[in-house]
Amino acid sequence: MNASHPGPWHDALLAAQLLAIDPMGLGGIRVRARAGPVREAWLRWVRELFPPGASFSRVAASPDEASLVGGLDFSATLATGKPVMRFGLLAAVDGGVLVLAMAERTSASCAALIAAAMDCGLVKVEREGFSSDLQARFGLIALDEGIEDDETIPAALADRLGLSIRLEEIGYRDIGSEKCDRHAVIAAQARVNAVAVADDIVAALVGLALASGWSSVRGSLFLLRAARAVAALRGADEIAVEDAATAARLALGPQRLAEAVAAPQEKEPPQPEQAPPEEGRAEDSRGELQDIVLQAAAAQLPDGLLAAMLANKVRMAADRGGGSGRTAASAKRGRPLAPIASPRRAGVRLDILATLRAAAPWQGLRGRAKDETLRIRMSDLRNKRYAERRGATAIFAVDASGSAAVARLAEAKGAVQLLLAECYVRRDEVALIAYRRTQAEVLLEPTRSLARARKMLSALPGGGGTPLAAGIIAAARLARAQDKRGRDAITIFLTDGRANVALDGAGGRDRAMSDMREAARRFRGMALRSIVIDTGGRPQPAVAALANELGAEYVPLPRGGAGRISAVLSERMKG
Amino acid sequence: MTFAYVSRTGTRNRAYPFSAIVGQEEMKRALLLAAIDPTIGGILVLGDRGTGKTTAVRGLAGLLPVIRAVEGCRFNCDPDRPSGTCPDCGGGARGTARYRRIPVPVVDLPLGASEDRVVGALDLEAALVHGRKSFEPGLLASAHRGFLYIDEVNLLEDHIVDLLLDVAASGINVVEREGLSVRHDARFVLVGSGNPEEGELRPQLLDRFGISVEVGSPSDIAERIEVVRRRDAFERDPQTFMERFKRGDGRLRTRIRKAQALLPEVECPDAALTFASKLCLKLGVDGLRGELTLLRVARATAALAGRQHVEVADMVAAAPGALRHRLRRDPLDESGSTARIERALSELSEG
Repeated sequence: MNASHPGPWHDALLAAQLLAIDPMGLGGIRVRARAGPVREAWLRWVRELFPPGASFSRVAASPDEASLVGGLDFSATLATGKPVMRFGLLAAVDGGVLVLAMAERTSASCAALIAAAMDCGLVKVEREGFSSDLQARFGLIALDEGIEDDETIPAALADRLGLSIRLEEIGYRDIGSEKCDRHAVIAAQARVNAVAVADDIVAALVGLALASGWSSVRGSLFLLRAARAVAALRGADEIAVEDAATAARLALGPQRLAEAVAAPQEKEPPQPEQAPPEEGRAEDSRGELQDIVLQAAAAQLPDGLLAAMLANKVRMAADRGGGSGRTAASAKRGRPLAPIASPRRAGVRLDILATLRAAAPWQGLRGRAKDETLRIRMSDLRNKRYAERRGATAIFAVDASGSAAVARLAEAKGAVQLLLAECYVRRDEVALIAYRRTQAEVLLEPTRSLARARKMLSALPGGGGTPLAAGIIAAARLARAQDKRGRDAITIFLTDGRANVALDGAGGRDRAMSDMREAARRFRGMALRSIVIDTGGRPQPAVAALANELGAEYVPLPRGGAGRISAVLSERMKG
Repeated sequence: MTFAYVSRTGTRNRAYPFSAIVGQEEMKRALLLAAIDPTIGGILVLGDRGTGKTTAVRGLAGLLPVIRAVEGCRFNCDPDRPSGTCPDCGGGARGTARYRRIPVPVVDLPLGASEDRVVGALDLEAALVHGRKSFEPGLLASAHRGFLYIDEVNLLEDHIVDLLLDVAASGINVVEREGLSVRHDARFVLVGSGNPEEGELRPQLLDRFGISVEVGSPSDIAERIEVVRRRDAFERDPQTFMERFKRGDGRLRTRIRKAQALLPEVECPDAALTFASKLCLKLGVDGLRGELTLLRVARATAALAGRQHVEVADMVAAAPGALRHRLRRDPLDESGSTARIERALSELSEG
């Protein structure tokens, strides 16, 4: 390890101090770390930076709406005989820190609730008869425990976290004995808003945020706020270049910093007439300063980390679109039906509000005196009912091999898009797997977004051999994952049945065919629904046999046409 | 633990001033047009994260002129146009009711709102404490004659969306639940914002919006720097910052008021009407709603410009926002709706 840089643990502590100085301005910290003693030690440290008594709440992944926002407090309502509000987590954590564990599993709707509170420092409660705005000014610490590359925190949250650190590279022994200095934080807090900033520094920070791929304006703003906090912590009254570099390192985090380093330098077309006149320094010096800040920031990272991040750029791409389209089906959502009066059974949720409303008119008749507890009888109890249909996911497994691939691929692309157009009415999702050359690849994770689908599809290449076995296995994996999410999966194979690449990527028709049959048998063993669409010039017995092995329905569609494929599917998915 | 309640006016006063928003002209104009003519229908703002969608809507609240509402009426009834069905003030003669001045309501419908708070429900406290059966109005009542804002509208639960569609179409909220039977006026401008990458909107909902706007992050670096500078100044010292833009907001308010007064006199010559019909025909827009909205947006545009006649240029300016979301989706056509409208516009102006 190079001695000149301060080390990742030091950075982690610095990020915590910056958050303590300006929790509202910086939003929060995205912490990439698995559960473990290092993470716990760091969290303890964060806690000490905040005022004693400040709330420090921890919650896992996707708390439900009621616990985040609040609602009716049943026991207090019964005890006092009038509606009492239970405050949700977002209001309870006002003035403190909310720690969101397993943030990569947070649902889009839950992320949106937290994001809305972060945006205005308020939680708007419109639930169960209550209507009020409660203060909710907190710093969010999102613990990103993702292991797989496609696991990442929802983009709505990622965009609102001004700092980003990694604890993964830190061993327990690397943790120093730094004392927590709350006084420095308090002193910096008093100074932070008065810290001055030169125009060229602002320009450099904005340019840097853009170069790192953080296109939302929030990124630029976070860089500036972080730089100001760094300067304030140092006791300075103006942001120096080193402050900007430190801020860039902590606000962008290693991954985005690597993006900025890799970005082409010709970022700024000169715009002399656009620049405000008070910007005394010329454009070229602005670009130069941006470089200096970037180099200084990158130099302070541990050796090798930047290179690892650069190698990992594919992940970053997934990162940006992440979290979208993933709405976990849960028994707590869905269209509520009228609450039903029925006996209590295990697993049935009591609709508290409906129960109280049912009991309310009878209180006088039942002889309830003032200030006495409510009289609720069995007949008042109301249970919650939801009408929830299991969402469906259509997985297209498309032969993208050479020869006829271009035409077939265009049909499949068309079918996927036509289906998508119907999907937002029915809340279905589609996914796309292409197999070509030596492997199968998930090109489109299950999504409902036409915008994303269109982007992915237009970039779908074709060519090479036909690794059908790999395609079947990839489809099976995806279908199983859908099942775990509580969605029905239906896989649609578009193929002419001529496998010529074996599972291990080697050529040769015989092994390829036997691998394919083996994969098909396994697929069938998992009892997954599928349809095989024969895209050959005329119906092929081999494809019918494959359908049989898969336990799939066989639909010959010579020169199918997008419209016909999607019509066939649409019928199956409604059923 | 103590909880701090924030009054609704308190949050309103702290909003980032509308006139301080840099760029995003299309979004700002759409909101102004809806303020001038609420019958345009809702505004849908779709775009990337952190582009100031929410900021603009909240800023709009600070711009709107005050209106008169019947004293003590929780449904914001207009004293000059009494509603016979209002549960609070129904039946009063025109112009006789005592009134108060209120700012045009801008009501947030937060994600996670429950159905009872949206449409209104039995007032639990009155029922439990006083044994009285009364109706507690919901957000739809509060939004009457104003704006109802839904952030992340594409994440809203389906059953709430269905409720909104129904009320937005009829302008009347009918509540039949818990032994209550209430109907009251609920006419509001629906403002939705969201990120299309989080999920598409249903076509039925899309169609309810009069104008749809696409916003993106500013690509011009100088503009970006100005955005960051202003935002930073606002966060460090909101009071001074708002003082700085108070006059800008005031000027906009005056423009809205003048345009509102002018609107009934704005005439639409045949040339402009023909242009609108031709355009809708060319684009294959279904139904009359598109053409009607186009006309209304163009009229409001003319009023905002202080003109009494709609010009073809107003139609051209209005077309993308009014029609973009109504084009029949052709999944195989890669070019976006905006490009298709621009193509049609240029073909029309040539022909």
